[in-house]
Amino acid sequence: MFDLLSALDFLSFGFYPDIDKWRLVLAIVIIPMHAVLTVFCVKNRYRLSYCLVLTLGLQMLTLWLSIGDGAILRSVKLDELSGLCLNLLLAYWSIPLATILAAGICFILINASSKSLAYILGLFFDLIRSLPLVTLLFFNTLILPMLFNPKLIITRLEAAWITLIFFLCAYTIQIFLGAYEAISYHQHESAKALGISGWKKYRHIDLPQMLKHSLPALISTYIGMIKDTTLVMIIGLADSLGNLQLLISRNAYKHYYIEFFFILGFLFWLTCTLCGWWGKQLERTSNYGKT
Amino acid sequence: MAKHKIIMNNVSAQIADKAILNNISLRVDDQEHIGIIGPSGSGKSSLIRTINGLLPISSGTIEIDSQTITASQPSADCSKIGMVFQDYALFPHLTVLENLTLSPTLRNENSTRDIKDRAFSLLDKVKMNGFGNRFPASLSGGQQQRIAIARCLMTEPEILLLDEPTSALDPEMIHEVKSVLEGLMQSQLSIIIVSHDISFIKTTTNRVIFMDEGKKLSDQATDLFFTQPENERQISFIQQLDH
Ligand SMILES: Nc1ncnc2c1ncn2[C@@H]1O[C@H](COP(=O)(O)OP(=O)(O)O)[C@@H](O)[C@H]1O
Ligand SMILES: [Mg+2]
Repeated sequence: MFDLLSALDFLSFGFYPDIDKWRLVLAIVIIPMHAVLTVFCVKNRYRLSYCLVLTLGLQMLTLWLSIGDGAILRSVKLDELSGLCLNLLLAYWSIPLATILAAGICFILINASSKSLAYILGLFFDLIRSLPLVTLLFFNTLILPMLFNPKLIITRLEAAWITLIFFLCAYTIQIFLGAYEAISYHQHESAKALGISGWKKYRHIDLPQMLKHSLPALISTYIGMIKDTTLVMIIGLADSLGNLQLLISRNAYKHYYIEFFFILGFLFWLTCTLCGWWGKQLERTSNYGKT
Repeated sequence: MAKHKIIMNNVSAQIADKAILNNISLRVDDQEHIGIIGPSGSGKSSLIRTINGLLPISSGTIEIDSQTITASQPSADCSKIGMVFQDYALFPHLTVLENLTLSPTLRNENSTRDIKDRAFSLLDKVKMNGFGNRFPASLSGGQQQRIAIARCLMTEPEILLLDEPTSALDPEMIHEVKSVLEGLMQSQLSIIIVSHDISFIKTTTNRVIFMDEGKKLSDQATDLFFTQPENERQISFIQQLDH
Protein backbone atom coordinates (compact mmCIF):
# COMPACT_ATOMS: atom_id res chain seq x y z
CA MET A 1 0.00 0.00 0.00
CA PHE A 2 1.27 3.46 -0.85
CA ASP A 3 1.92 5.54 2.20
CA LEU A 4 3.88 8.75 1.77
CA LEU A 5 4.60 9.25 5.45
CA SER A 6 6.05 5.84 6.02
CA ALA A 7 8.04 6.18 2.83
CA LEU A 8 9.55 9.44 4.03
CA ASP A 9 10.13 7.85 7.39
CA PHE A 10 12.04 5.06 5.70
CA LEU A 11 14.07 7.49 3.61
CA SER A 12 15.05 9.39 6.71
CA PHE A 13 15.59 6.70 9.31
CA GLY A 14 15.80 3.40 7.48
CA PHE A 15 15.60 0.50 9.88
CA TYR A 16 16.44 2.48 12.97
CA PRO A 17 14.27 1.09 15.80
CA ASP A 18 11.05 3.03 16.24
CA ILE A 19 11.30 3.53 19.97
CA ASP A 20 14.73 5.10 19.57
CA LYS A 21 13.91 7.49 16.76
CA TRP A 22 13.62 10.41 19.13
CA ARG A 23 17.34 10.01 19.73
CA LEU A 24 18.16 10.51 16.06
CA VAL A 25 15.74 13.41 15.82
CA LEU A 26 17.44 15.03 18.79
CA ALA A 27 20.88 14.45 17.30
CA ILE A 28 19.80 16.02 14.01
CA VAL A 29 18.26 18.99 15.79
CA ILE A 30 21.55 19.58 17.59
CA ILE A 31 23.29 20.22 14.25
CA PRO A 32 21.56 23.52 13.40
CA MET A 33 21.74 24.49 17.07
CA HIS A 34 25.47 23.99 16.94
CA ALA A 35 25.63 26.11 13.81
CA VAL A 36 23.71 28.92 15.50
CA LEU A 37 25.89 28.67 18.60
CA THR A 38 28.99 28.97 16.45
CA VAL A 39 27.71 32.20 14.92
CA PHE A 40 26.93 33.37 18.45
CA CYS A 41 30.48 32.55 19.58
CA VAL A 42 31.98 34.41 16.63
CA LYS A 43 29.70 37.37 17.17
CA ASN A 44 30.64 37.66 20.82
CA ARG A 45 34.27 36.93 20.00
CA TYR A 46 34.57 34.05 22.43
CA ARG A 47 37.90 32.33 22.61
CA LEU A 48 38.55 29.65 20.02
CA SER A 49 39.06 27.18 22.83
CA TYR A 50 35.46 27.64 23.96
CA CYS A 51 34.27 26.87 20.43
CA LEU A 52 36.52 23.82 20.43
CA VAL A 53 35.10 22.49 23.69
CA LEU A 54 31.55 23.20 22.52
CA THR A 55 32.19 21.40 19.24
CA LEU A 56 33.81 18.34 20.76
CA GLY A 57 31.09 18.19 23.42
CA LEU A 58 28.28 18.27 20.89
CA GLN A 59 30.03 15.73 18.67
CA MET A 60 30.23 13.30 21.59
CA LEU A 61 26.64 14.00 22.54
CA THR A 62 25.30 13.29 19.06
CA LEU A 63 27.46 10.18 18.75
CA TRP A 64 26.19 8.90 22.06
CA LEU A 65 22.60 9.74 21.19
CA SER A 66 22.59 8.02 17.83
CA ILE A 67 24.85 5.00 18.22
CA GLY A 68 25.86 5.01 21.85
CA ASP A 69 25.13 2.18 24.17
CA GLY A 70 25.26 2.39 27.87
CA ALA A 71 23.41 2.29 31.09
CA ILE A 72 20.98 5.02 30.19
CA LEU A 73 20.24 4.46 26.54
CA ARG A 74 19.41 1.22 24.84
CA SER A 75 22.25 0.04 22.68
CA VAL A 76 21.77 0.51 18.95
CA LYS A 77 23.71 -1.46 16.41
CA LEU A 78 25.81 0.66 14.12
CA ASP A 79 24.28 -0.88 11.05
CA GLU A 80 20.86 0.26 12.11
CA LEU A 81 21.85 3.85 11.46
CA SER A 82 20.75 4.62 7.92
CA GLY A 83 18.83 6.95 5.65
CA LEU A 84 19.12 10.68 5.40
CA CYS A 85 20.09 10.79 9.06
CA LEU A 86 23.18 8.80 8.20
CA ASN A 87 24.15 11.35 5.53
CA LEU A 88 23.61 14.30 7.82
CA LEU A 89 25.32 12.76 10.81
CA LEU A 90 28.29 11.51 8.79
CA ALA A 91 28.74 15.02 7.42
CA TYR A 92 28.33 16.49 10.87
CA TRP A 93 30.81 14.09 12.41
CA SER A 94 33.43 14.73 9.72
CA ILE A 95 33.29 18.46 9.09
CA PRO A 96 34.31 19.88 12.49
CA LEU A 97 36.84 17.15 13.21
CA ALA A 98 38.44 17.49 9.78
CA THR A 99 38.66 21.25 10.26
CA ILE A 100 40.28 20.93 13.67
CA LEU A 101 42.70 18.32 12.37
CA ALA A 102 43.56 20.50 9.37
CA ALA A 103 44.20 23.50 11.62
CA GLY A 104 46.58 21.40 13.68
CA ILE A 105 48.40 20.01 10.67
CA CYS A 106 48.76 23.48 9.17
CA PHE A 107 50.54 24.56 12.33
CA ILE A 108 53.08 21.80 11.77
CA LEU A 109 53.40 22.58 8.06
CA ILE A 110 53.91 26.29 8.69
CA ASN A 111 56.15 26.13 11.72
CA ALA A 112 57.83 22.76 11.44
CA SER A 113 61.48 22.95 12.36
CA SER A 114 61.90 19.43 11.03
CA LYS A 115 61.36 19.56 7.30
CA SER A 116 60.94 15.79 7.06
CA LEU A 117 57.81 15.72 9.22
CA ALA A 118 56.23 18.43 7.09
CA TYR A 119 57.29 16.52 3.99
CA ILE A 120 55.75 13.24 5.12
CA LEU A 121 52.52 14.95 6.15
CA GLY A 122 52.40 16.75 2.83
CA LEU A 123 52.94 13.53 0.93
CA PHE A 124 50.30 11.66 2.90
CA PHE A 125 47.58 14.23 2.39
CA ASP A 126 48.59 14.71 -1.20
CA LEU A 127 47.95 11.01 -1.73
CA ILE A 128 44.52 11.26 -0.12
CA ARG A 129 43.68 14.27 -2.23
CA SER A 130 44.74 12.58 -5.44
CA LEU A 131 42.58 9.50 -5.02
CA PRO A 132 38.83 9.36 -5.67
CA LEU A 133 36.80 9.17 -2.50
CA VAL A 134 35.20 5.94 -3.68
CA THR A 135 38.58 4.30 -3.98
CA LEU A 136 39.51 5.38 -0.49
CA LEU A 137 36.24 4.11 0.90
CA PHE A 138 36.75 0.73 -0.73
CA PHE A 139 40.33 0.53 0.36
CA ASN A 140 39.63 1.40 3.97
CA THR A 141 36.61 -0.82 4.41
CA LEU A 142 37.66 -3.87 2.43
CA ILE A 143 41.39 -3.95 1.83
CA LEU A 144 42.85 -2.33 4.91
CA PRO A 145 41.27 -4.89 7.29
CA MET A 146 42.70 -7.66 5.07
CA LEU A 147 46.18 -6.18 5.07
CA PHE A 148 46.29 -5.69 8.80
CA ASN A 149 44.99 -7.69 11.67
CA PRO A 150 41.61 -9.05 10.57
CA LYS A 151 40.60 -9.27 14.20
CA LEU A 152 40.87 -5.53 14.40
CA ILE A 153 37.31 -5.06 13.37
CA ILE A 154 36.24 -1.60 12.58
CA THR A 155 32.76 -1.39 11.22
CA ARG A 156 32.06 -0.08 7.75
CA LEU A 157 30.52 3.00 9.29
CA GLU A 158 33.65 3.74 11.29
CA ALA A 159 35.84 3.17 8.28
CA ALA A 160 33.67 5.47 6.18
CA TRP A 161 33.69 8.08 8.92
CA ILE A 162 37.48 8.09 9.25
CA THR A 163 37.89 8.18 5.47
CA LEU A 164 35.61 11.17 5.16
CA ILE A 165 37.50 13.01 7.89
CA PHE A 166 40.86 12.51 6.22
CA PHE A 167 39.51 13.23 2.77
CA LEU A 168 37.96 16.51 3.87
CA CYS A 169 41.04 17.31 5.92
CA ALA A 170 43.27 17.01 2.86
CA TYR A 171 41.26 19.70 1.09
CA THR A 172 40.88 21.90 4.15
CA ILE A 173 44.65 21.96 4.70
CA GLN A 174 45.15 23.46 1.25
CA ILE A 175 42.43 26.03 1.84
CA PHE A 176 44.04 26.99 5.15
CA LEU A 177 47.50 27.25 3.60
CA GLY A 178 46.09 29.58 0.96
CA ALA A 179 44.45 31.67 3.65
CA TYR A 180 47.75 31.81 5.54
CA GLU A 181 49.40 33.30 2.47
CA ALA A 182 46.80 36.08 2.55
CA ILE A 183 48.13 37.34 5.88
CA SER A 184 50.43 40.25 5.06
CA TYR A 185 54.10 39.87 5.90
CA HIS A 186 53.84 43.11 7.87
CA GLN A 187 51.83 41.24 10.41
CA HIS A 188 54.40 38.50 10.68
CA GLU A 189 57.03 41.17 11.20
CA SER A 190 55.09 43.10 13.78
CA ALA A 191 54.31 39.87 15.62
CA LYS A 192 58.00 39.14 15.70
CA ALA A 193 58.82 42.66 16.82
CA LEU A 194 56.29 42.21 19.63
CA GLY A 195 57.88 38.92 20.62
CA ILE A 196 54.92 36.73 19.64
CA SER A 197 55.99 33.51 17.96
CA GLY A 198 55.35 29.79 17.58
CA TRP A 199 52.07 28.35 18.79
CA LYS A 200 50.99 31.62 20.41
CA LYS A 201 51.39 33.45 17.13
CA TYR A 202 49.55 30.70 15.26
CA ARG A 203 46.75 30.61 17.76
CA HIS A 204 46.23 34.34 18.22
CA ILE A 205 47.31 35.91 14.94
CA ASP A 206 47.39 33.35 12.13
CA LEU A 207 44.53 30.96 12.83
CA PRO A 208 41.74 33.50 13.44
CA GLN A 209 42.59 35.25 10.18
CA MET A 210 43.03 31.99 8.29
CA LEU A 211 39.57 30.88 9.41
CA LYS A 212 38.09 34.15 8.28
CA HIS A 213 39.88 34.30 4.93
CA SER A 214 39.00 30.72 4.12
CA LEU A 215 35.28 30.87 4.95
CA PRO A 216 33.89 30.97 1.37
CA ALA A 217 36.12 28.13 0.19
CA LEU A 218 35.55 26.18 3.40
CA ILE A 219 31.80 26.37 3.11
CA SER A 220 31.75 25.11 -0.45
CA THR A 221 34.03 22.25 0.55
CA TYR A 222 31.64 21.45 3.39
CA ILE A 223 28.73 21.44 0.97
CA GLY A 224 30.69 19.08 -1.25
CA MET A 225 31.22 16.85 1.77
CA ILE A 226 27.51 16.76 2.58
CA LYS A 227 26.84 15.48 -0.94
CA ASP A 228 29.81 13.12 -0.89
CA THR A 229 28.33 11.26 2.06
CA THR A 230 25.99 9.58 -0.45
CA LEU A 231 29.01 7.70 -1.76
CA VAL A 232 29.02 5.49 1.33
CA MET A 233 26.22 3.59 -0.40
CA ILE A 234 28.93 2.00 -2.51
CA ILE A 235 30.47 0.22 0.46
CA GLY A 236 27.06 -1.07 1.45
CA LEU A 237 25.92 1.49 3.95
CA ALA A 238 22.23 2.24 3.63
CA ASP A 239 22.23 5.99 3.30
CA SER A 240 19.32 7.97 1.90
CA LEU A 241 20.09 6.99 -1.68
CA GLY A 242 20.42 3.35 -0.68
CA ASN A 243 17.12 3.46 1.14
CA LEU A 244 15.55 5.17 -1.84
CA GLN A 245 16.57 2.30 -4.08
CA LEU A 246 15.21 -0.19 -1.59
CA LEU A 247 12.00 1.75 -1.47
CA ILE A 248 11.36 1.97 -5.18
CA SER A 249 12.13 -1.68 -5.61
CA ARG A 250 8.89 -2.33 -3.76
CA ASN A 251 5.80 -2.64 -5.90
CA ALA A 252 3.77 0.02 -4.18
CA TYR A 253 6.37 2.71 -4.80
CA LYS A 254 8.01 1.77 -8.04
CA HIS A 255 5.99 4.17 -10.18
CA TYR A 256 6.94 7.12 -8.05
CA TYR A 257 10.69 6.95 -8.21
CA ILE A 258 11.01 10.33 -9.98
CA GLU A 259 8.96 11.95 -7.26
CA PHE A 260 11.09 10.39 -4.56
CA PHE A 261 14.28 11.44 -6.26
CA PHE A 262 12.93 14.96 -6.34
CA ILE A 263 12.00 14.85 -2.68
CA LEU A 264 15.44 13.63 -1.76
CA GLY A 265 17.04 16.19 -4.08
CA PHE A 266 14.99 18.89 -2.42
CA LEU A 267 16.16 17.81 1.02
CA PHE A 268 19.80 17.92 -0.08
CA TRP A 269 19.26 21.30 -1.70
CA LEU A 270 17.73 22.56 1.53
CA THR A 271 20.59 21.25 3.65
CA CYS A 272 23.27 22.68 1.40
CA THR A 273 21.50 26.01 1.07
CA LEU A 274 21.20 26.27 4.83
CA CYS A 275 24.89 25.46 5.09
CA GLY A 276 25.70 28.20 2.60
CA TRP A 277 23.48 30.64 4.45
CA TRP A 278 25.24 29.75 7.68
CA GLY A 279 28.54 30.55 6.01
CA LYS A 280 27.20 33.96 4.99
CA GLN A 281 26.21 34.65 8.59
CA LEU A 282 29.68 33.67 9.79
CA GLU A 283 31.26 35.99 7.23
CA ARG A 284 29.00 38.82 8.24
CA THR A 285 29.69 38.46 11.94
CA SER A 286 33.44 38.34 11.44
CA ASN A 287 34.01 41.32 9.19
CA TYR A 288 36.04 43.23 11.80
CA GLY A 289 34.75 46.73 11.34
CA LYS A 290 34.86 46.76 7.55
CA THR A 291 31.78 48.15 5.94
CA MET B 1 79.43 60.31 30.04
CA ALA B 2 76.28 58.71 28.74
CA LYS B 3 76.39 54.96 28.50
CA HIS B 4 76.03 53.23 25.16
CA LYS B 5 72.66 51.60 24.56
CA ILE B 6 73.41 50.03 21.20
CA ILE B 7 76.84 49.33 19.74
CA MET B 8 77.01 48.09 16.16
CA ASN B 9 80.42 46.88 15.03
CA ASN B 10 81.08 46.41 11.31
CA VAL B 11 77.62 45.05 10.68
CA SER B 12 76.87 43.68 7.24
CA ALA B 13 73.70 42.05 6.05
CA GLN B 14 72.61 40.45 2.85
CA ILE B 15 69.39 39.16 1.34
CA ALA B 16 69.79 36.37 -1.19
CA ASP B 17 73.52 37.09 -1.65
CA LYS B 18 72.86 40.73 -2.38
CA ALA B 19 74.66 43.03 0.07
CA ILE B 20 72.11 45.24 1.77
CA LEU B 21 74.24 46.68 4.57
CA ASN B 22 77.94 47.26 4.27
CA ASN B 23 80.22 47.37 7.32
CA ILE B 24 78.16 49.68 9.43
CA SER B 25 79.36 50.79 12.84
CA LEU B 26 77.13 52.86 15.02
CA ARG B 27 76.76 53.82 18.66
CA VAL B 28 73.54 54.93 20.22
CA ASP B 29 73.68 56.39 23.70
CA ASP B 30 71.10 56.05 26.38
CA GLN B 31 68.21 58.45 25.71
CA GLU B 32 69.74 59.59 22.46
CA HIS B 33 67.52 60.35 19.47
CA ILE B 34 69.00 59.47 16.12
CA GLY B 35 67.58 60.29 12.70
CA ILE B 36 68.41 58.20 9.66
CA ILE B 37 67.98 59.76 6.25
CA GLY B 38 68.94 58.78 2.75
CA PRO B 39 67.42 57.92 -0.59
CA SER B 40 64.94 55.05 -1.03
CA GLY B 41 66.55 51.64 -1.10
CA SER B 42 69.64 52.88 0.71
CA GLY B 43 69.15 50.40 3.54
CA LYS B 44 67.62 52.62 6.22
CA SER B 45 64.89 50.15 7.09
CA SER B 46 67.32 47.27 6.88
CA LEU B 47 69.63 48.98 9.35
CA ILE B 48 67.04 49.34 12.07
CA ARG B 49 65.59 45.90 11.33
CA THR B 50 68.90 44.31 12.27
CA ILE B 51 68.56 45.78 15.75
CA ASN B 52 65.42 43.86 16.68
CA GLY B 53 66.33 40.76 14.73
CA LEU B 54 63.92 41.14 11.81
CA LEU B 55 66.93 41.08 9.49
CA PRO B 56 69.69 38.61 10.38
CA ILE B 57 73.18 39.98 10.01
CA SER B 58 75.91 38.20 8.07
CA SER B 59 78.91 39.60 9.92
CA GLY B 60 79.79 41.96 12.73
CA THR B 61 78.17 42.29 16.14
CA ILE B 62 75.36 44.28 17.67
CA GLU B 63 75.45 44.80 21.42
CA ILE B 64 72.26 45.85 23.10
CA ASP B 65 72.69 46.22 26.84
CA SER B 66 74.19 42.91 27.86
CA GLN B 67 72.92 40.99 24.84
CA THR B 68 75.08 40.42 21.78
CA ILE B 69 73.72 39.64 18.34
CA THR B 70 76.01 37.99 15.80
CA ALA B 71 75.48 36.15 12.54
CA SER B 72 75.35 32.80 14.31
CA GLN B 73 73.43 34.07 17.30
CA PRO B 74 70.32 35.99 16.29
CA SER B 75 68.49 38.11 18.80
CA ALA B 76 66.61 36.22 21.45
CA ASP B 77 64.72 38.86 23.32
CA CYS B 78 63.39 42.04 21.80
CA SER B 79 61.00 42.91 24.59
CA LYS B 80 63.02 46.02 25.34
CA ILE B 81 62.81 47.17 21.72
CA GLY B 82 59.65 48.63 20.27
CA MET B 83 59.12 49.13 16.57
CA VAL B 84 56.67 51.21 14.56
CA PHE B 85 56.24 50.39 10.89
CA GLN B 86 55.42 52.64 7.97
CA ASP B 87 52.14 50.81 7.37
CA TYR B 88 51.03 50.42 10.99
CA ALA B 89 50.75 46.60 10.77
CA LEU B 90 47.98 46.35 13.33
CA PHE B 91 46.26 42.99 13.67
CA PRO B 92 43.00 43.48 11.75
CA HIS B 93 41.05 40.78 13.55
CA LEU B 94 41.68 42.26 16.99
CA THR B 95 40.13 45.35 18.51
CA VAL B 96 42.34 48.30 19.37
CA LEU B 97 42.45 47.24 23.00
CA GLU B 98 43.29 43.64 22.09
CA ASN B 99 46.04 44.84 19.76
CA LEU B 100 47.58 46.60 22.73
CA THR B 101 47.14 43.86 25.30
CA LEU B 102 47.97 40.79 23.19
CA SER B 103 51.72 40.77 23.53
CA PRO B 104 51.93 41.59 27.26
CA THR B 105 49.14 39.09 27.98
CA LEU B 106 50.94 36.32 26.11
CA ARG B 107 54.15 37.16 27.94
CA ASN B 108 52.29 36.79 31.20
CA GLU B 109 54.29 39.50 32.87
CA ASN B 110 51.55 41.37 34.66
CA SER B 111 48.03 40.74 35.76
CA THR B 112 45.31 41.28 33.17
CA ARG B 113 44.14 44.22 35.20
CA ASP B 114 47.52 45.98 35.13
CA ILE B 115 47.86 45.35 31.42
CA LYS B 116 44.45 46.86 30.73
CA ASP B 117 45.17 49.86 32.92
CA ARG B 118 48.38 50.44 31.04
CA ALA B 119 46.59 50.08 27.71
CA PHE B 120 44.03 52.68 28.69
CA SER B 121 46.66 55.13 29.89
CA LEU B 122 48.59 54.70 26.63
CA LEU B 123 45.43 55.20 24.58
CA ASP B 124 45.04 58.39 26.54
CA LYS B 125 48.61 59.36 25.77
CA VAL B 126 48.13 58.95 22.00
CA LYS B 127 44.78 60.74 22.25
CA MET B 128 42.77 57.68 21.24
CA ASN B 129 40.60 57.49 24.33
CA GLY B 130 37.35 55.66 23.76
CA PHE B 131 38.53 53.79 20.67
CA GLY B 132 39.36 50.59 22.57
CA ASN B 133 36.56 48.52 21.10
CA ARG B 134 36.96 49.64 17.50
CA PHE B 135 38.63 47.53 14.84
CA PRO B 136 41.65 48.91 12.94
CA ALA B 137 39.74 48.85 9.64
CA SER B 138 37.33 51.43 11.01
CA LEU B 139 40.11 53.93 11.84
CA SER B 140 41.95 56.47 9.71
CA GLY B 141 45.60 55.95 8.88
CA GLY B 142 46.71 58.51 11.43
CA GLN B 143 44.62 56.89 14.12
CA GLN B 144 45.97 53.46 13.24
CA GLN B 145 49.51 54.71 13.42
CA ARG B 146 48.88 56.22 16.85
CA ILE B 147 47.49 52.88 18.01
CA ALA B 148 50.59 51.18 16.60
CA ILE B 149 52.74 53.59 18.62
CA ALA B 150 50.76 52.84 21.76
CA ARG B 151 51.05 49.12 21.06
CA CYS B 152 54.82 49.16 20.88
CA LEU B 153 54.96 51.13 24.14
CA MET B 154 52.95 48.44 25.95
CA THR B 155 56.02 46.34 26.71
CA GLU B 156 57.83 49.37 28.18
CA PRO B 157 60.66 49.35 25.66
CA GLU B 158 63.93 51.18 26.29
CA ILE B 159 64.68 51.48 22.58
CA LEU B 160 62.23 52.66 19.98
CA LEU B 161 62.67 52.04 16.26
CA LEU B 162 60.46 54.17 14.01
CA ASP B 163 60.50 53.30 10.32
CA GLU B 164 58.99 56.19 8.36
CA PRO B 165 56.07 56.47 10.78
CA THR B 166 54.40 59.27 8.81
CA SER B 167 55.22 58.34 5.22
CA ALA B 168 51.96 56.55 4.49
CA LEU B 169 49.82 59.37 5.81
CA ASP B 170 48.30 62.44 4.23
CA PRO B 171 49.23 65.88 5.60
CA GLU B 172 46.44 66.28 8.11
CA MET B 173 47.13 62.92 9.66
CA ILE B 174 50.87 63.50 9.68
CA HIS B 175 50.25 66.36 12.04
CA GLU B 176 48.39 64.29 14.64
CA VAL B 177 50.98 61.50 14.54
CA LYS B 178 53.84 63.97 14.77
CA SER B 179 52.41 65.58 17.85
CA VAL B 180 52.29 62.16 19.51
CA LEU B 181 55.85 61.43 18.39
CA GLU B 182 57.04 64.79 19.72
CA GLY B 183 55.60 63.80 23.07
CA LEU B 184 57.61 60.58 22.90
CA MET B 185 60.77 62.44 22.10
CA GLN B 186 60.51 64.11 25.52
CA SER B 187 60.72 60.75 27.24
CA GLN B 188 63.75 58.80 28.41
CA LEU B 189 63.86 56.40 25.47
CA SER B 190 66.64 55.80 22.99
CA ILE B 191 65.04 56.43 19.64
CA ILE B 192 66.10 55.74 16.08
CA ILE B 193 63.82 57.27 13.50
CA VAL B 194 63.90 56.87 9.75
CA SER B 195 62.09 59.75 8.11
CA HIS B 196 61.94 61.93 5.04
CA ASP B 197 60.46 64.70 7.14
CA ILE B 198 63.52 66.89 7.48
CA SER B 199 61.96 69.55 9.67
CA PHE B 200 60.89 66.85 12.07
CA ILE B 201 64.39 65.35 12.06
CA LYS B 202 65.87 68.79 12.67
CA THR B 203 63.70 69.53 15.67
CA THR B 204 63.64 66.19 17.41
CA THR B 205 66.97 64.40 16.94
CA ASN B 206 70.46 64.87 18.38
CA ARG B 207 72.29 63.13 15.63
CA VAL B 208 71.70 62.32 11.97
CA ILE B 209 73.03 59.40 10.00
CA PHE B 210 73.11 59.59 6.23
CA MET B 211 72.91 56.33 4.32
CA ASP B 212 73.40 55.47 0.69
CA GLU B 213 73.71 52.09 -1.01
CA GLY B 214 73.96 50.22 2.24
CA LYS B 215 76.77 52.35 3.58
CA LYS B 216 76.84 54.88 6.36
CA LEU B 217 78.18 58.00 4.64
CA SER B 218 77.99 60.45 7.50
CA ASP B 219 77.18 60.59 11.17
CA GLN B 220 76.98 64.09 12.61
CA ALA B 221 75.24 66.14 15.25
CA THR B 222 71.95 67.32 13.79
CA ASP B 223 72.79 71.01 13.47
CA LEU B 224 76.19 70.28 11.92
CA PHE B 225 74.67 67.82 9.48
CA PHE B 226 72.73 70.48 7.67
CA THR B 227 75.21 73.33 8.01
CA GLN B 228 78.55 71.57 7.55
CA PRO B 229 77.98 68.52 5.40
CA GLU B 230 80.86 66.06 5.27
CA ASN B 231 80.76 64.70 1.73
CA GLU B 232 79.57 65.33 -1.80
CA ARG B 233 76.69 62.86 -1.77
CA GLN B 234 75.33 64.42 1.37
CA ILE B 235 75.63 67.93 -0.09
CA SER B 236 73.66 66.99 -3.18
CA PHE B 237 71.05 65.21 -1.05
CA ILE B 238 70.59 68.28 1.14
CA GLN B 239 70.41 70.53 -1.91
CA GLN B 240 67.62 68.37 -3.32
CA LEU B 241 65.73 68.77 -0.07
CA ASP B 242 65.82 72.54 -0.37
CA HIS B 243 64.05 72.49 -3.72
N1 LIG C 1 63.06 41.12 0.88
C1 LIG C 1 63.98 41.66 0.08
N2 LIG C 1 64.49 40.95 -0.94
C2 LIG C 1 65.43 41.48 -1.75
N3 LIG C 1 65.92 42.71 -1.61
C3 LIG C 1 65.44 43.48 -0.62
C4 LIG C 1 64.45 42.99 0.28
N4 LIG C 1 64.17 43.96 1.18
C5 LIG C 1 64.96 45.00 0.84
N5 LIG C 1 65.72 44.71 -0.23
C6 LIG C 1 66.71 45.60 -0.87
O1 LIG C 1 67.50 46.12 0.15
C7 LIG C 1 67.84 47.46 -0.13
C8 LIG C 1 67.56 48.31 1.07
O2 LIG C 1 66.19 48.29 1.35
P1 LIG C 1 65.55 49.13 2.54
O3 LIG C 1 66.34 48.89 3.76
O4 LIG C 1 64.11 48.81 2.59
O5 LIG C 1 65.77 50.62 2.02
P2 LIG C 1 65.10 51.95 2.56
O6 LIG C 1 64.34 51.66 3.79
O7 LIG C 1 66.26 52.87 2.78
O8 LIG C 1 64.25 52.47 1.46
C9 LIG C 1 67.06 47.86 -1.36
O9 LIG C 1 67.95 47.85 -2.45
C10 LIG C 1 66.03 46.78 -1.52
O10 LIG C 1 65.82 46.54 -2.89
MG1 LIG D 1 62.31 51.77 4.20
